[in-house]
Amino acid sequence: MATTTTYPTLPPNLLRERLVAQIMAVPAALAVVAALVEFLWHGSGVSWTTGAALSLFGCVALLFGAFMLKVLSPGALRTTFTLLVLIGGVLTALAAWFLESHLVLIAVLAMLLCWLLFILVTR
Amino acid sequence: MRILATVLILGSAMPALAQQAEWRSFHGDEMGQKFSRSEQITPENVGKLEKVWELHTGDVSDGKGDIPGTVWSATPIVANDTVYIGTPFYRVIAVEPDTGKVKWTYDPKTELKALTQPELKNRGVTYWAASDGSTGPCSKRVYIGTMSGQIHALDADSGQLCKDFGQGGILDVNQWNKPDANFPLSQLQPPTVYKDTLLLGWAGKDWVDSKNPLGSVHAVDARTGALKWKFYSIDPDYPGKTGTANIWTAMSVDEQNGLVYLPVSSPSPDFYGGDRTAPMPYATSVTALNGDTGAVVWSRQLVHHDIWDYDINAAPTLVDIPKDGGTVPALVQTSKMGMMFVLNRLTGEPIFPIEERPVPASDVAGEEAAPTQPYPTLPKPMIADHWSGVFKLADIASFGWCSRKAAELRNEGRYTPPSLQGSLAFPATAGGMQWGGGTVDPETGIYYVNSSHVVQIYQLIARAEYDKLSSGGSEAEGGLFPMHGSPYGFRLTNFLNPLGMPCWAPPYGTMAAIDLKTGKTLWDEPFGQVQQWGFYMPESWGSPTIGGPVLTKTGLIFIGASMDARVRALDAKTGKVLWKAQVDAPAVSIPAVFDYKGREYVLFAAGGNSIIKPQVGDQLVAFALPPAK
Repeated sequence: MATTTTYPTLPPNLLRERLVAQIMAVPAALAVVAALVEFLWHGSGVSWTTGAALSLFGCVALLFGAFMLKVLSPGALRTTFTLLVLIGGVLTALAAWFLESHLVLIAVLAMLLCWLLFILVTR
Repeated sequence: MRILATVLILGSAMPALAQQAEWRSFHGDEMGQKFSRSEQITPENVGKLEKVWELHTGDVSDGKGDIPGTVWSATPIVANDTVYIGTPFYRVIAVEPDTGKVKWTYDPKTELKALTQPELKNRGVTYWAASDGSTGPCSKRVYIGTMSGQIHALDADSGQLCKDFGQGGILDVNQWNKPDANFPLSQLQPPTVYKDTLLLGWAGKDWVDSKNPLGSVHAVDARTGALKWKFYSIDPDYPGKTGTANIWTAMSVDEQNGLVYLPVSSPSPDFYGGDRTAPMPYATSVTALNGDTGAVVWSRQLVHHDIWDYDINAAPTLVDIPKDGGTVPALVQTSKMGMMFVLNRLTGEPIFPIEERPVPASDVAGEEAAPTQPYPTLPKPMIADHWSGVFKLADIASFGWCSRKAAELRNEGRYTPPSLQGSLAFPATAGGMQWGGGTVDPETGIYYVNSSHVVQIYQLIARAEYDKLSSGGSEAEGGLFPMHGSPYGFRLTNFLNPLGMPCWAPPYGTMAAIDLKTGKTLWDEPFGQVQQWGFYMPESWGSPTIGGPVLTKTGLIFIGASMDARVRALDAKTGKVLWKAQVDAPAVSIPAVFDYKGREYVLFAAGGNSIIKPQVGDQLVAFALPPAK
């Protein structure tokens, strides 16, 4: 007997939001890689320091945040994560600035730009 | 005739130029100038410098295991087509200048114990070539000292011991260490060469006991190690409980005038002088000796009755200052006080007037602080007479701890004596100009030097109370100093808030240029960056520094020294950073600049020093311009 499954179609605005969240994950992932290199590479000048560990943690948290923004539906939880990503992004950018980790800083700033785009498409 | 004159001039200049292409001693030359005539790297192309090789010696310890921590402040020596470097494990490594490939190594198999210093320290090796031009094994030698007080003489080509030196190639300096031999005469600073003579100072510990070996310099034959003459900085019949006033850093040599210059450190115990009140004119002085006999030619005490540990810690820079179409034979002596004393090096007379200024009296029972101290009217001290005040950020972060602490301390500016309540020490023993000293352009007479702006707290503690605190006393350089035999122990702390932030306002380190012709400061800029938990603080704060600068003829200053483990090239005209690179640890050393096979190299030893940052390294790293295509 033939069976048919019909999948609900996401509204276009939600599709856009998820796409932007997905794009946001790209610089966040790059930031994680850059922060990991800074943390591990002896020549970075900040390897194995508390600051570099914080920066790495911040970048991982931002990647997780971007993932959550992609999977969560609009609501209080997503709003909370949206705010957390902003705060985490600003603090991580600040840490990267003081660590003089230029690649991390650029990646996090790019992610924050994506965050701004996310806000615009969710309005 | 003109051609003949030109040939003669060139002929006389050529050996000097050839020598300058190398880096044959701790300061590049025995006059302490740290000046390179190399011309390939310029302010215009220095930004293109790239790392061409690095060597990891393996001789490094963070002190967490059985071996004490390491402090590596060696200047690489470049001579005999070889780079020679000493390590904190007292090994010598000879490498090819253009590749870093190891030619030979020598291991003295000395004990790796902190016998006189809290850590294993080394400031490199000495190179000597026989002045009679003789050839063959051991006509060129490399010397390394050990903390246990031995000097090892090696053939510069093979690294084999020169058996005619001392006993089988090893000279035991401790044979002259009496009568108060409570520690070995540590040979951490490589010998200074005067003709065919090695000048040996020593390092000890002046914070543990009052009575210690008397400061001395031994002049020995470079070939045999036989003693030629000996100089005591304290009269052997001195009526008091004291010692040291030793020469633990490099000395300078004016071979033409037959003079050697000694930067003499403070007497023991460091911070209490009640048991050594009789005059001690050579302590904390710069003293000129006849290099052939050891007789004192002149001496100038730079701190009277030193109770601040203001060791004269850098070899004076000897330079002929251009003036009125001629030159003045000068000596520039930097100091922990941040003052520069510019003297006529033949007579010791000041070139710029030095005044005796009244200073605060001691309020400690038994102490008799000197009523006045020497104060050079020019150049302006690089460290101000009063501290910069409470750093608001540190004060806020500690809920006012810094302000409250500052209010508790005795603070009457420069030369405030140590006290029982605690005195704010600025400049302090860890500040001012350190053993790296400065560099000078002998053609323009402009002098460049880095300074540390550090505030420390000096507190004497009555003996009974101290003994309860320390149960016998620490031998650490920071913290508690027992000063056994005196009525007081001592606590030395950096003025930091409970979060570890400096309680005094920046800058913490500067670099300055001074015109020796006029005594005027041309520029004085923050230098380096403080780094905490990996975070770099603003450049305007600067960084405390250990290690010295090198100047090139093209107007570049190369220096490591800062806390942030970076090496830099500065524009000598402005102090602006033109190039910087990351190295493994703070390069607390003097770099070497040399030419080899048509290429100019800048060589840094990055070894770290726990005084500025708990980061150690074993990296010897060479930078050069990319090869011409």
